Amino acid sequence: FLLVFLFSCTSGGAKKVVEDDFDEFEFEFESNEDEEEVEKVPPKDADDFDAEQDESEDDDDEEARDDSDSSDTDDEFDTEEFETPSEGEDTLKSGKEASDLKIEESAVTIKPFFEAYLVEICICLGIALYISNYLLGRTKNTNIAEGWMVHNLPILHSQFVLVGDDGEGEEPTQNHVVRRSENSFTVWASGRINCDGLLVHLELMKRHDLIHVILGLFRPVPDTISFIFQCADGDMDSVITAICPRKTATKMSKEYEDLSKYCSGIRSGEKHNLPSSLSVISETFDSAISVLSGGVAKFLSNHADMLLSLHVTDQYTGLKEEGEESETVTIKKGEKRIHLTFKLPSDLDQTTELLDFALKLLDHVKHIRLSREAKDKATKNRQLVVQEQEKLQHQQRQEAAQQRKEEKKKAEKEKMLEETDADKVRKWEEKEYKKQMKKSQTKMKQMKVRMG
Amino acid sequence: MSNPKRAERAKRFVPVSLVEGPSYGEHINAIGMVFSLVGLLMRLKWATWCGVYCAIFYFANVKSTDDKKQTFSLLMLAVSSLVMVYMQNPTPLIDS
Repeated sequence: FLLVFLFSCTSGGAKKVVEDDFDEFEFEFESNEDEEEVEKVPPKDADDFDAEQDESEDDDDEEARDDSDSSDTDDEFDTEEFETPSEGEDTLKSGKEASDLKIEESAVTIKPFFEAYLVEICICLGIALYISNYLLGRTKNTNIAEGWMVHNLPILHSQFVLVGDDGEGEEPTQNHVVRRSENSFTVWASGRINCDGLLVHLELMKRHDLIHVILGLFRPVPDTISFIFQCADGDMDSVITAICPRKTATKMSKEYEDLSKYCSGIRSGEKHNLPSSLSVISETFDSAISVLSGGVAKFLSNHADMLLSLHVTDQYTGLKEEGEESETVTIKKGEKRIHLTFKLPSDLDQTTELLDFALKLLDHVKHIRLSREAKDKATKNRQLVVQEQEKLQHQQRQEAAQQRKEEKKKAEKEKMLEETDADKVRKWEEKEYKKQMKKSQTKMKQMKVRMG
Repeated sequence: MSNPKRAERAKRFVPVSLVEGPSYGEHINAIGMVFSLVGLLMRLKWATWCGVYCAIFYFANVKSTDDKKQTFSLLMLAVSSLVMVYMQNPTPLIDS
C-alpha cells in the first residue's frame, strides 16, 4: 500500500511538474502569439530600425526607475529575472542564427532515370543496332542467293533432271536454295551425264554480322561462288591439277591432302599460256596441259582476276588434318571431283557465263586421256601412297598389340603383389624365371650356329 | 551437244563438308557461358552484359548444322543472369 501510495505521489508530482512546464509553454505560446502579431507589421528600413532601437533603450531606463519605486511592495515579479528581449533584437538574433545554419547536402542525390542508367541505355542501343544490321544483312544475302537462282535456273533445268533438292523428306523438292548459315547457301542439281551431281556453294560476305561488316571496311572479303562436281569412276582419268592465283598457291598446295601427296612443284602460269598472276600445281606436266587445252586456258586468262581456284582431281580426300598425324591412319578412298571457285560478280547476269564454263569444263575433263608415261607415273604414285598407308596401319596395329601385352603383364604383376599365398607367388616367380631363361637360351643358340 | 540429261543418274542431295572460312562460333559460345556464370555468381553487371553480347553474336553466326539447343541455352543463361543481377542490385552499372 505504501508503494502504491509512493508511486501515485511520484506520478502525481510528475504531472504537476509537467503542468507547471506546460504553464510556461502556454505562457510562451501567448507571448509567441504576441510576437507573430508584431511580425505582421510591415518590415522597416535599417535606419528606422536604429532609431527605434535608441527609443526602446530610453524606455527601458524609465521602466527600470518606475520599477524600483514599486519593487518594495511587489517581490513576486522581479523584472530582472524575466528579461523580455526587445522586439528588434529578437528578430535580429533569429536572423543571425538562421544565417549560421548550414544546410548539409543530403547523402543520396536522386538523379533522373535517363541520367543514372546512361551506360545501360548505350549498351541496349548497341544491341538494337546489331539486331537491325543482322536483319538487313540477312535479307541482302538471301536476295543475292535467290537472285543467282533466278538467273541460272533455265540453264540448270536444261542440263539436269533434278534441280534444287534439299535432301529432306521423301519426295525431292524443286528450285530450293538450302541455307547453311546466314551467309552460306547451296543448290544441288543432279541427273546429267559425266557427273553424279553439281553442288553450287555461295559463300557471301557476313553482312549480317556487324563486326565483320566493320572488319570488311579495312580488309574486304569478296562474295564467292563454287561449282563442285561429284563424278563417278568412269567420268575421269588419273588427273590431279590445280590452278590458282600465285599468292594462294603455296597455301593451297599444303592445305589439300591430294595436292600435298601427289604434286611436287608449283609452276608459273606463263608456261601454260596463262597470265603470270596464276600458278599451276599438277602431278605431271601432261595432266596440266590436257586440263588447260580446249579453250580452258583462254577463258581463265580472261577471268584471271575473278578466278580463286580450279581443282581437278581423282583422289580428293579433303583438307589435310591439322596438327600432328592423327592417331589412327584410315585409308580414305579418293573421290573424283572438280572444284571451280570464282569471285561472285555484283552483276548477276555475268554469273550465267561462269556456269556455262563450268559445264563445258566437266565435259572437257571427261574426254581427257593421258599419255602412256603420264598414266604409268600416275598409277605408280597411287600404288606408292596406298603402300605407305598400309605400312602405317600395320605399324599402328603392332604398337596397339604391344601395348595390350604390357598392360596384361602389369595387371598380372599387381595381382601377384596382392596375393597372400606364398606358394602361388613362388610358382609364378619360377614360371617367370623359366620364361626369361628360355629367351636368353634361344639367343645363345643363334650365336653358336653362326660360329659353327 | 544432244540432251545431257540422264534421269537414271539423278541422286538426292546429301550434305557434304565444304571448305569454308574460319568460324568463331564455338569460341564465342564458351566465352559467353563463362561471362554469364561469372556475372551471376559474382554479381558483376558488366560481365552479364558481355554474356548477352556473346549470345547475340553466337545466335547470328550459328550454322544450320549446329545444335539449336546449344544456342537457346546460351541465350537463356545470359538473359536470366542479367535479370537476376539487376534484381538483386538495381543500381546502375556506373554509380557515380
